[in-house]
Amino acid sequence: MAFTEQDVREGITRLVIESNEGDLTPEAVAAACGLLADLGYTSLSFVRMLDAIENDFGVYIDLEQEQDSGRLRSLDGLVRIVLENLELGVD
Amino acid sequence: MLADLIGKTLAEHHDGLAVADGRTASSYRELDATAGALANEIAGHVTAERPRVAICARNSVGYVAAYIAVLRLGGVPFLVDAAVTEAELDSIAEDCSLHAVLDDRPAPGPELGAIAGLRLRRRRPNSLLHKLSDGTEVCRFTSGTTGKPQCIEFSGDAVAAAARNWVAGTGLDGDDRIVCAAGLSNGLAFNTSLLACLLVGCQLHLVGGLPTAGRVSRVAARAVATRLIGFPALYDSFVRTGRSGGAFADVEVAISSGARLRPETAAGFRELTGITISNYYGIAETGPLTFARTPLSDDSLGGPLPGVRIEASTAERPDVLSVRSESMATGYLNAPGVFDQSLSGNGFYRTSDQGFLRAGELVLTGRVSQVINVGGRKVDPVEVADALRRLPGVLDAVVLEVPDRHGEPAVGAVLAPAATLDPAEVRRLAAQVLPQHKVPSLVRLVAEIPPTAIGKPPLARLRALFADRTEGI
Repeated sequence: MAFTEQDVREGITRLVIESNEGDLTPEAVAAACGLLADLGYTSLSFVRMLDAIENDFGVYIDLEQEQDSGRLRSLDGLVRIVLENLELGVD
Repeated sequence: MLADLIGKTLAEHHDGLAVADGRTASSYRELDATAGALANEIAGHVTAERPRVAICARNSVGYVAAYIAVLRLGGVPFLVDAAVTEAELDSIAEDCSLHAVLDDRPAPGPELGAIAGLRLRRRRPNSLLHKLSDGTEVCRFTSGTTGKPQCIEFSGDAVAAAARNWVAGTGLDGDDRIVCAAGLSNGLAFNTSLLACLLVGCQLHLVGGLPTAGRVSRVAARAVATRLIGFPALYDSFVRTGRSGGAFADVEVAISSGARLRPETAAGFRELTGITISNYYGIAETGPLTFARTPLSDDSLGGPLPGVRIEASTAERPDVLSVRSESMATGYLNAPGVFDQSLSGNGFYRTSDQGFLRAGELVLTGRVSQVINVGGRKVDPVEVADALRRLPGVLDAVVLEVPDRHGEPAVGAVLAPAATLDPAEVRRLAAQVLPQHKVPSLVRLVAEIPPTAIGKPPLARLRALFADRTEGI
């Protein structure tokens, strides 16, 4: 299945909300500029979310490679990782 | 004592692979050399006779070397959860009169040197606030309900006994290749993977950072793992993603502890891999207590390890467990006398867990403590409520365990604000002083928190607020 950047962004926003322990809304994600630490993301939420991204998009996120990149900390960073994995290319 | 014990094992197993972390792999000989270099580095900056050195870092070869280095100097390693905030680390350093911190975080402040991926930062305690017991060789931390992390002192004999009894009780040997996905500061990893591995000369493959199924299965495949160590969340991840495959072809034992393992996770992992998870029972203050390679049922935590005695009642009338082991703590450094209050006259430690023995294997049925267990990390509600009350706009706060949207225990907070208060802003501010697992996932706002007749908050009424998924009054 081919994903557009919009598909990926919407999909990851949904997974960010579903994977969290709390009562997140799309508005709260937007207000926090997609910064997961500001959304109360624990390591449990992160693991849940990364599993969901891998399952839904069929990609593997190499945590050893990304650990120090900072891209795992934000919605934008996650979108870029998935897009790169899907070889859609980014600006 | 531990320095001598480890020194012998390093010499004995010299060329065998000791520790790998995805970036570095060290033989026992190389680990010995790295520990020696780290010991020299520390000794060059810290001149205390018995240096108290915190190790606050993710799993790595450098972590293991640092642990050995501090012991070699005659010092005491204080193993601090890598997730603590800078403010918490400062507080611990003050409370425990630390002389230095070894960490791997990009934090502010002058550093004295960097080696094996760790930075050395010196602390200057004004005086030694609390005296270490004479035999103390290692300190670890746990959350009680005292409003601050409790620093547990262990003698070298206790740490060695925990490792030896784990080896004997679980059949660990020099041919094993352990993949450890829990942080080494946590009892799960500390007791199953650190000294136990060094004693028998096996291989320790460490997973640092987030332990997802994808990452751990790759490490396991590379290592040709025979043992897997992780919190229940790791096994949840395997079941969610369906990952396993050939990565576990040689795995003989998969170990879980620290939090509740859901029966559906145990069944799902078995279906996926053919492996029955060994879910063991251990307490920070006593070390590991039970194990079964093939437990009699999914709710079993196994039978007592060597040197362990458990006082438990029957299935009909489960009661609070009392336990005694050869790896008991000496006390709490920063709460003198508190540990002794939990000991009976015959040396048994009264736990906060309820359960019973069935055919010699332990089954837990509940808890009598208000400590919140978030995926294996313990959270003190008093500590979190104190932090929340200090935030601007918060008049009062009560923190309690509530189920999250996934049915898992989560940190919930009921706040009485001075005026309008945004729960998201509360979480953002709280995250500046608390690590993420202590920041309330769920927040409810009320006009005031009414006390009960005895002056305590009405927890049942407050907990009912979380049945509705709306934040606010």
